[in-house]
Amino acid sequence: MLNQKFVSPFAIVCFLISFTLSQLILSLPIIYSRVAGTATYILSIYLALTMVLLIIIISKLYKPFYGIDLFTVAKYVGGNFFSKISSALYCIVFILLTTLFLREVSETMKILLFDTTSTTIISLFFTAAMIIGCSAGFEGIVRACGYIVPIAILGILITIIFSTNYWDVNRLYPLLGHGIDNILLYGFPRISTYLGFIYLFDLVNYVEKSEELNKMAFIYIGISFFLITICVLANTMAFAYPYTDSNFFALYDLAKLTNLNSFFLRSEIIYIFTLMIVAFIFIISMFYGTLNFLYKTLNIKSNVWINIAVGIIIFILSNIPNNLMEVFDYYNIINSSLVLPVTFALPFVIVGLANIKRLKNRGNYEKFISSNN
Amino acid sequence: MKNLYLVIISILCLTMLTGCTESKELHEHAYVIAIGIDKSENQEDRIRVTFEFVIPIAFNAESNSQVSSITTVESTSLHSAISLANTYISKELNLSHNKVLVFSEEIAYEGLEKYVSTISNDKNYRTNMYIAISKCSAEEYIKNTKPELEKNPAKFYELLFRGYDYTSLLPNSYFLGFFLSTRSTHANPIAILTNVDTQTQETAKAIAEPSESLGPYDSNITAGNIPKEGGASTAALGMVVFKNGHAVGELTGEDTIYFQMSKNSFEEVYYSIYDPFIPQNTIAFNLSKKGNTKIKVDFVNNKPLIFIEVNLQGNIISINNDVDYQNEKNLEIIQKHLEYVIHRNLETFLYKTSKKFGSDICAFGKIAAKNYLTITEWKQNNWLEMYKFSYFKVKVNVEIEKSGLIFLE
Repeated sequence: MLNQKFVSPFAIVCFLISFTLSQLILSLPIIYSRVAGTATYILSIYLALTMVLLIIIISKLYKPFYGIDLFTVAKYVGGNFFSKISSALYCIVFILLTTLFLREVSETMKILLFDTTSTTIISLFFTAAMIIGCSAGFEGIVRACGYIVPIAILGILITIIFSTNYWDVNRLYPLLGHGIDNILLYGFPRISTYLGFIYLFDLVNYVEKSEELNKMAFIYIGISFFLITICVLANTMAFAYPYTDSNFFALYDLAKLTNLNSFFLRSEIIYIFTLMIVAFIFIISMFYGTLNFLYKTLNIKSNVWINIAVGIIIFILSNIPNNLMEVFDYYNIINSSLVLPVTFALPFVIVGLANIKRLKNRGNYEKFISSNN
Repeated sequence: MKNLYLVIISILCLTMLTGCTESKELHEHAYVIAIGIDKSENQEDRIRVTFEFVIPIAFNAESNSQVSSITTVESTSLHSAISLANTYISKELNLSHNKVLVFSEEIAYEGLEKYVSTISNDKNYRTNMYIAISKCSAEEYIKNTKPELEKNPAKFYELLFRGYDYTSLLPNSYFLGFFLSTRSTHANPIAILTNVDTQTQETAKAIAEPSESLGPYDSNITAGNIPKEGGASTAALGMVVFKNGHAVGELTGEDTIYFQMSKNSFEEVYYSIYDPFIPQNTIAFNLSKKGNTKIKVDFVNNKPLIFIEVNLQGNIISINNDVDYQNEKNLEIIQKHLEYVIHRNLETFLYKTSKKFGSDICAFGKIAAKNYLTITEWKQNNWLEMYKFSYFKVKVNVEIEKSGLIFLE
C-alpha cells in the first residue's frame, strides 16, 4: 500500500480528470451533440448530477468496507470465484478501452498531423510509450498527472477562449435540443464520460479517509463538468447544429478559428500538444489498469515480459478496425454492453450484496474487516 | 523521482513523432494567397482554377519586382488542379495562407455546395479565409487585382475584405460562416461581391439611377460600377445572396448596410439623405451603432412576423448654411426624416430578401428558433421555406448628437 504523502490529493484529482480530458479532446463534443442536439449543456448537467448521486450512494454503501479494494469485497460476497470473475471483467474492459483509444488517437494524429505516416507506425510509438510509462507504477503515473493535467486544461481553455469571437448564443435554440426524454434516455449511457469512476475503488488504498476520497471525487466531477460544459457550449455556439453532429474534431476546429487581428492566427498546435500529452498519460493509466487487473485475476507477480506481451496484443487488436468510423461503432457497442455494466453497475452489485451479507451476519463481517486491516 | 523520470522519458519518446520524415522547409512551399474558380470555356465538366502565390524573396528587393505570380490550370476538380499545378511549379502549393476564394458568378448560380464541402474536408485551408463571387471571371479578377498602397498582396486581400469594419458596404463573408450557413436550418449564406472596375464615371452615374432607395445614397452601386478614376482596378462592394447552395441574386452596397443593421453587425458608415428643408441639397451623417438591434419573431396564422428595432446615432458631417441646425425643432425634423428614410430602405431590403429571394440571409431563423422547444418541432416547420411568407415591422431610432464644431457660430 502506498503512503498517502507520496500521492497528493491534487495529483489524484488530476489523475481522475485525465479520464475526462481524454474523451474531451477527441470525440466527446460530437457524441453529446448527437444525443442532445442544441441542448448539450442539459446533457452535461444531467450526467454530472447523476454522477454526484452515484458517488453519494456508493460512498454510503462502501463506508463499512473503506480501505479494502473492490475485489476483496467481492471475495467476501461470493468467494474467490466471484472476485476473479469481477477482476477479469475489469481487465477485459480496460483492454478494450485501451485498444480503441490507441486506434482513435493514432487515427486522429494521422488525420491532423501525419498525412503520409501509417496509423500503425503512430500506434507503435504510443504502444512503446505505454509499456515504458507503466513501469513507473501507479505513484509515478498519478504524480505525472499532477504536472500534465493542469497544462492540458490550460491548453483546452486557451483554445476555447480564442474562439469566443465566433460564439452566438442564439445557436443554442431550440432550447431543449432533441427533447428532454431523448436526453434522459439516450444520454444515460454517456455517463461513461466520467470514466475516472473505474479507478475510484483502487484509490481507497491511497486515501486514508472515505470523506477525503468523496471530496476528491466531487472536485473531479465539478472540474470535469465545467470543462465538458464549456467545450460543448463553445462547440454548439461556434459551429451551430446540425454541423456539430458531423464535426469529429470539434476542439481542433475551434483552435482553427483563432483570429486575434492577424497578431495570433495559429493555435492548432496548442490543441495538438494538449492531445499528445493527454493521450499519452491516459493510455499509460489504462495500460497500467489492464496489467493491474490481469495480475490480480491470474494472481501472479508483475513481469516486464508480460507487460510487453500485453502491450503487443493491444497494439495488434488496435489494428482490427478498418477505419475511425468502425472504432466509434465498436466503442458504442462496448460502451453499452460492457463498460457501463462493469464500471458503473458491478461495483453497486458487489457493495450492495456485501452490505446485505454484513447486516445478516455481523460476526462474519467483523472477522473479515479485522483480517483485512 | 525515478518513476517520474521514466514518465518524462516516455513523453520524449513521443516527440520523435515530429521527426524529419514529413518535415518541409519554408522555402519548399509556394504559398497560395488567392484561388479563383471558373467554369471551363471548352468542356462542361471541367473548371479553370487560378492560383496566386507570393514570391517572398521579392519583398526584400528594392526594385519594383513582381511580388506574386499567377497561374491558371484547367482540370476536373480543385484538387486535381492543385496536383497539376504542382507538376510545373518548382515548389509544393501550400494553401494554409490562402486569404480568399473567388468563384465566378456563373459557378455561384450553378451551386457552390460541392466545392465548399470538398474544401471543408481539407484541413490545409484556413476556415477564416474570405469567400467572394466575381461578376467577371475569377481569373480576370485575380489577374486585375494590383494593390496600390500595399506591396504584400496577401495583406491587401486581408485588409480589403476586412473593410466591413469601417465601410459597412461589404459583408463579412468568411469560409466557415458560409459553409455553416449552407448546412444550417436557420439561415442562408451570402458572399462578398467583387468585380473588375470597368465603368467610366458617366456610365456608372447612369447605372445608379433609377433607384428603389429613398435618398441620394449611391444605392445601385455594386462592385464594378464605382464611378471612380484611379485607385485599384478591382473592388469588393455589395453581396451575393444564396439559397439551397446556389446564388439567387445580388445586393448593392447600400443593401449591405441594411443587412449589417439587421444582423447586428453594423459598425459605422457615412450616410446621406436629402435635406428636408432644401431638397436639392444633401446632409451627410456619420452613422454608427447606438445599441444592439432588437429582433423578435412571432407567428401570425403560421406566418412569421419579424420585429426589428435598429438603434443608431448620427453626427451631422455636412450641412447647408441657409438652415439653422442649432434649432431644436429643425434637428427633430432632420432626425425624423433620417429615421423615415432608413426605415423605408430597411423595409424594402427585408422584403427583397423574403419575397424576391426567399433567403434568410439575416439569420432571423436563430431568433425564430426560440419559439420552438425541440429540434423535431423546428425541423417540421421548415423555417427556410417559411421565410418567404415573412412580414416585417421595422422601428428605427436615431439619436443625432448635437456636439461638434459644425454647430458653433
